[in-house]
Amino acid sequence: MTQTDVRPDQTFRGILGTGIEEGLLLKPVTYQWAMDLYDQAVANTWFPNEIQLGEDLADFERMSADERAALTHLMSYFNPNELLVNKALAFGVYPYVNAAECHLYLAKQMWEEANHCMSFEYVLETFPIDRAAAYESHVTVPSMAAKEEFEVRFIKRMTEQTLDITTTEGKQDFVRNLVAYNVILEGIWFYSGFMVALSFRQRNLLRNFGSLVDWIVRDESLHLKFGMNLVLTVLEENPDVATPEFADEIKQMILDAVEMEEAYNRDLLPNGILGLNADYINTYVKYLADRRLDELGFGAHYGVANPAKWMAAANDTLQLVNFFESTNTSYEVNARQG
Amino acid sequence: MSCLGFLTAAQREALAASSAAGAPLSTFASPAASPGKTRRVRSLAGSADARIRESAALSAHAPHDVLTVLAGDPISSVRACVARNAGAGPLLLRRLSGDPEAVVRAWVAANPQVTDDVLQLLIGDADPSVRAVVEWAGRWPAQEGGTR
Repeated sequence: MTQTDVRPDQTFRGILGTGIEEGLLLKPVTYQWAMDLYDQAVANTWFPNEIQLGEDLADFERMSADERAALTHLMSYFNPNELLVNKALAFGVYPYVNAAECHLYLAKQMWEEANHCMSFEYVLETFPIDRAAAYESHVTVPSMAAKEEFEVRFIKRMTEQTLDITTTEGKQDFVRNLVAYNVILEGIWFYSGFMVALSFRQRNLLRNFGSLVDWIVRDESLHLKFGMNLVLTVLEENPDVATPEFADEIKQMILDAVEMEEAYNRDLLPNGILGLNADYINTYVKYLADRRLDELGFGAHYGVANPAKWMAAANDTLQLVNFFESTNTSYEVNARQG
Repeated sequence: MSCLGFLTAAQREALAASSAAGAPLSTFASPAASPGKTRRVRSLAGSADARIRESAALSAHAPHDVLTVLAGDPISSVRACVARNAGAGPLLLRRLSGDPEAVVRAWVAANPQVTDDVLQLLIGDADPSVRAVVEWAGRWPAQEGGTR
């Protein structure tokens, strides 16, 4: 950080802060990565009706009851949780970040979460899915409710008046919320759902729904980058935060989240569909958790290989290379056996 | 003072009617492809940043001449995004079916607008990942006009 990087309205205090009058000038940009991500996010702007979901209706009609149940389960989870991310951003991130370029990106991300919510609403409007059942599941299915409760706990803490972002404890609360909504919710749980959602297309079903999910994943990959950069910047600027005890706690949060996702996926796929079963998805969840742990500097915990190489991210978006390597006889047999 | 006092009976009735069950929540419509939106896509296509050009290449509102230019982009990920775009059209898809990069040819095979004759060109592709996508594409029901 050089003196020329300091905005004229403030002395440099880092990325965290709560002053309403501060962070109102964009230049000079301190965190260029946030500006770059904003540009990419704006260029990515898309709308749900650009995808002709109605063309997938014939596929929906020929899907099995278990396949339809899985799609409903996904909508039940994704729809409210896109809005939950917005609550995490509005209550737990935006008020405590001091850089205008970060506020720009967060504003675009919040619109994207709304756009994703409406995309899933578009799915519910298009397919004959029992909307009441879909809306209800996120509170009545224990494994789904547990994931939501986990997130809500961290967001609530960010709204308490006792939180002081200038203290080590306050900064740790900020990082906890970031890890909960960004690393866990968006970086592990959402990707687990994306994999199931895209497996329909892999099996020649719901092609347009797959395109919709492609666009969402393209946005989410940027959300992940932003959140991870924010975590790492806060840790870099505040060396008091990453105590050994706090590091252990963060790692344990991620390991707990994997356990919650395992229970959720057993409810999602009690019988296996489309060559997938809960064990297969949960191996992918552990692979994702290892990647996130590695990005946070912990190193891998589970040491599992990616079972879904077709979900490999290259250039931050899904690529078709390796898309079909998942046609693996052993897990197909397992899926049929439940 | 109660906030309820601000609402007349007619306003309450209108509010209740506006959220009646059964009506779609939204038309899911996006702003029309105005000249300004098209200019924006053209501008994005000229960006020095390949990731921005990728977005232009994927845009549902990318004009055909812009997609044609991006189909010749030196960066393969940009060409792959043109190959993914359902609006690329048969001529561009045919051109990209001869792309030196397998990932581009694979996306051509995966494009819902790819025609059977282009799939036939790719069926004997030297790259196994492209052949795998061709096999997958062949399993979609044929559409009118010979597309998959």
